[in-house]
Amino acid sequence: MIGAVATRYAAALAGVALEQKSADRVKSDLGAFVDAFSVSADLRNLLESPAVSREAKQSVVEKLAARMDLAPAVRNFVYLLVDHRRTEMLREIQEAFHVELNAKLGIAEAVVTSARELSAEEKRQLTSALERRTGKKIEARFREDKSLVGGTVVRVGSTVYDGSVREQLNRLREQLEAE
Amino acid sequence: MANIKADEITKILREQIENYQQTVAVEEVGSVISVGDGIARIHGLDRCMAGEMLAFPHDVFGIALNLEEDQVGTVLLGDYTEIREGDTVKRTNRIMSVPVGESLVGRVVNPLGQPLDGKGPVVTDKRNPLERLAPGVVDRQPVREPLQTGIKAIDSMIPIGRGQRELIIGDRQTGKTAIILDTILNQKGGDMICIYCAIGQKRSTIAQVIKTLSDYGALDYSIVVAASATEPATMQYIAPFAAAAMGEYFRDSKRHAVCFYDDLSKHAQSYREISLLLRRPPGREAFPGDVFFLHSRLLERAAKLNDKLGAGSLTALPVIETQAGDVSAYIPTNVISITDGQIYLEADLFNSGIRPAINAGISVSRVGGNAQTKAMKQVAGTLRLDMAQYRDLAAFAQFGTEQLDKATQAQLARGERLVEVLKQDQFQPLPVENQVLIIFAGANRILDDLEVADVRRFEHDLFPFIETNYPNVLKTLREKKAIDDSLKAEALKALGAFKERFKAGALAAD
Repeated sequence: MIGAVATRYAAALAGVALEQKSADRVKSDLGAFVDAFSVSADLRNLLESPAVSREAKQSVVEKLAARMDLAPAVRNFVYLLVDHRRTEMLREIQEAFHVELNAKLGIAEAVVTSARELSAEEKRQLTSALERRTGKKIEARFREDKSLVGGTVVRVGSTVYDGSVREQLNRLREQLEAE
Repeated sequence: MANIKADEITKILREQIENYQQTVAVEEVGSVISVGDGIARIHGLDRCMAGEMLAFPHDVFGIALNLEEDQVGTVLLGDYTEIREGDTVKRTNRIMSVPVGESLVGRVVNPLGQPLDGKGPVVTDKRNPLERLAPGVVDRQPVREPLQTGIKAIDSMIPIGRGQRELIIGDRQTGKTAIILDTILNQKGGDMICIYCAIGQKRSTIAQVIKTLSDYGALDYSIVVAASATEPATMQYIAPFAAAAMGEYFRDSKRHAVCFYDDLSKHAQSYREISLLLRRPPGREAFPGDVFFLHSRLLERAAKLNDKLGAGSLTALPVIETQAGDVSAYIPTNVISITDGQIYLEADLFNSGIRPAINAGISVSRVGGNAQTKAMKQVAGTLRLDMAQYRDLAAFAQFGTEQLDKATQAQLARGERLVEVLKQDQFQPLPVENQVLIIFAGANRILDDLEVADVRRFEHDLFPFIETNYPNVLKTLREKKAIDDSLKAEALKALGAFKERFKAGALAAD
């Protein structure tokens, strides 16, 4: 679930990243910072506590950025979040950032669920078929679910392409019941 | 019933399975974020349309009402207790629709068109969308045929035409539903389809209405759409739109239908409930800003179509219940300004025995006059004038009439008798020609020398007498629909003859 606020921040960061042509670096650096943020309870407390002054927070972030060698865009972005007291939304913003970046680069994320593991060749064919259909570059994640019986279910955004045997059986049942 | 063998069944099934099209189902789905109070918020469904039907698990459907940046707000139809957070919601690409057609006539259905009367399923393949654009300006023509209510006070002074929208407004217990029932009963043997839409009423009241209709044989040409007070606000919200969709079918197939929305105050309340739960900003009396548009788009669907489109009509008779006679509340003023006139019922009149308790002074019909028959126009003109003068004088003469001059006293006496003439018992709608005759009698001073208390008995005994002794009078009235000099003379003669007998009878009874 991504809220409207997170989307705004993420869209701004994505815009900066693309302008500076450092999308991949920003993506990985943001990921690294978010990981550190969620691992360290101390860091969370420090950045979210209103008792700590703005200057103290900034200097901590600056030292951390230098140690982790963060891109300046990411470091400035964290400054901004600290100023706006939005640090608790970091994880959500990271998710929204991926969505925004993908939308701007014409990439769509797909979740492919199949009854058995697909071979590399099948995966490649499926991905290119999806790319032709959606007109976007597909970044697919693959999952397995035995209850499908056979076939695959692909979900791109909120569209679901259901070619599973389970769905076919369901529809056959509906048809026979309707007769 | 033809017997079917087991192997035949197997064959059919095999054919079905062999010819089964293997296709990939493409669906757009979202997931439920939160659910409660008949409202569900859904994440996803980016391309969902406003007003689209959405399919929830457990055969529950919802209508998308709020399309927001990151979520869709929907109202749920039916039992939503089984729906959980995270459930998958599918788009159906359909706008909400209800079954329409002949087979609904004589049925009692809920706002989704599902039967409530236990007479089996409603068999029809036609559906009309719940919300539909009202006919445009060129598709219409002015009202020209009357909708006879069978109520003297209405047909004479506040005539309603087919395709008109006439509001029935009054406090609780002033006879609003009674007027509707009389109107429905009066359509017996005619070409009118009556659609009674109950919104937010007690189930016992609805049962009473249905019983009355079936007792008088009026269910044969009626449809009852019922959303009782126990049903969720969503059902009450869509009920009048469902009734309008059913009525539009008859309008568009060159026939005549009338919709009674009983009542729109409760409808506005259910819409307020939905709107507040969907977090739309509240306005006056906490109603949402578009409550005016809600009712105007509903009532605009009443229309008289032009001859090219078959000249069908849909008449709307909405009901508004006021609180302590307050017509300046938000919803009453809205609906008054949308409709083509109103029938105003007053508790004071009702309690002083004037039933129907119509206040003729402030009730109006803005277009119905065109549709009145000529004969009725001829007698109603004087009636209206006499009643207006009577009301002025009556207020003035409240503290005693002894000091008043003869002319004024005569005027008051006329008025009192005309008020008696306009009284009418429930479930006794009167044909137009009978109405014209008794009002004609009042206008031509036939009743002036009767006791006020005798007027109603006079009317009651008059019609059988005329029917047997002067059948020509009513027949000519029915056919010519106008009063010429010869008819006038004949009517006066007939009335004179009856009055003599009546007076003799009255004396004999003493």
